[in-house]
Amino acid sequence: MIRFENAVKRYTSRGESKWILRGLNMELPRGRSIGILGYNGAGKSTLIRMISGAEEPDFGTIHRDLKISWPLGFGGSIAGNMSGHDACMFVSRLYDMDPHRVIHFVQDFSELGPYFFEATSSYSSGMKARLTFGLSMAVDFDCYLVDEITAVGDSRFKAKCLAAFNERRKYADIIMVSHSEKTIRDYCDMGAILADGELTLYDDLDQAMSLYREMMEQ
Amino acid sequence: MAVTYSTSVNRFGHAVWAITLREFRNRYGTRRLGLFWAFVEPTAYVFVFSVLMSALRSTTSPLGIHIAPFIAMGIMSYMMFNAVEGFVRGALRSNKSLLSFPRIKPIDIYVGRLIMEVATLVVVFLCMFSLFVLTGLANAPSEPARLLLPLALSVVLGFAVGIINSTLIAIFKAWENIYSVASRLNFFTSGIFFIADGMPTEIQRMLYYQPLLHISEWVRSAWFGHFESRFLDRFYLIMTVSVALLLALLLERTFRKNVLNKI
Repeated sequence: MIRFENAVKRYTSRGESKWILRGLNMELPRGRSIGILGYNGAGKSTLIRMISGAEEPDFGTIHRDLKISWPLGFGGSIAGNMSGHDACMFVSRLYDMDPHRVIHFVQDFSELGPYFFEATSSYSSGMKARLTFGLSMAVDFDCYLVDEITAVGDSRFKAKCLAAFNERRKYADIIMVSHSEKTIRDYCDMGAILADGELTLYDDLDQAMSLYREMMEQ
Repeated sequence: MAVTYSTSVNRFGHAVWAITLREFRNRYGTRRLGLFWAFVEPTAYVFVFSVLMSALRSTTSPLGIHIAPFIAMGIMSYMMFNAVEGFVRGALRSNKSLLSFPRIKPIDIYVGRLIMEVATLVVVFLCMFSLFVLTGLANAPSEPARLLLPLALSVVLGFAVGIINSTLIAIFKAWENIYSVASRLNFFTSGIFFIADGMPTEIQRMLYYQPLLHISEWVRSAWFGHFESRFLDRFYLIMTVSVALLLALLLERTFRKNVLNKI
């Protein structure tokens, strides 16, 4: 369960304040995968970070009792001086898993070769994405938070991600931010639009998509 | 929430363990000279101040032993506070990326750093004092266990002040500059170079409010059977450290939001 209770979030920059959430009360349905749509700067990434707990709302609370992944995205959760191997060790200790299995899985998934033992600061963005995605697939999360990660990487990597995720769709959901309509369609069965501090859920992904397209044209 | 108390303690344990090992690897795994540098600071202090003090006064300390182990005891009491404080204060800043893991909360990072730094200091000072004992400059303490409480209080005070500073800096940036200027005073008032009983009553009265001086007096009293500080007020020290820890945890909880959003 992920439930927002009077969640308020506002940013003030250069004297101008911007609403991300104006008091949201909502429970995200279990068993559905949600694609979040919205303008650049509507606060989609902040929303994802708030769901993960890396940021907190200004007022209100977000209740969660699922095993939620860290936000998979550009902003690395893995420090630059960690190698792929270090990251695997860290995650297996954090989630109390067998490190050998994690390392084996991630090495196989990420195809980093010898780079697996190098500091991640020397990785290309595609390599970083392969490592983070592989690492998150090694842990059996109930809900995956994805912030545009599949935008990097070639089509082969994209197909691999989708295949890996489809395998665990039975018991894992995804909450995703992406500007690519195709990616959202591949992963999600439900849409949400974040605009001007309001989050609206749409049971029908197509409806959300066409509404969003209309919003963009205005 | 479905998370029980025991699961939560268990998760805390795993998070702290993961961070502690990462901190060790970060500090000593990548640079080959990491451990060497951990020894340099205390050794340099002890060496420089021993040479200075023996040039200015004599090679005999106020307690009758050689000046070097005397200063080393002061440095140990002081650094158990100061080094821990510094590492805890910078903990979130240098582990910013880890906070995006939902399982990791600021307190896990503070505690992980605390463990790493205390382990380092214990190794460094064990080596230093073993050397003093082997060379005959100091006698081994008759009851080493008596040292544990004052040193632990120093560590806990450093941990508490580190958290307080880390929180205050997130709210009010200039605090870092104010603290680092103000804390210079600690170096000269925490009894690294002197014992409180040798000071004029006026000064003793002012220094009564310096917990670090109580700590170094306690450490020296615990080390030597023949020395019992008249200045030392154990009750005052324990109360100060407890209040500081309580305040630190309260501040951390109250301003966690602000800290997370600023970091």
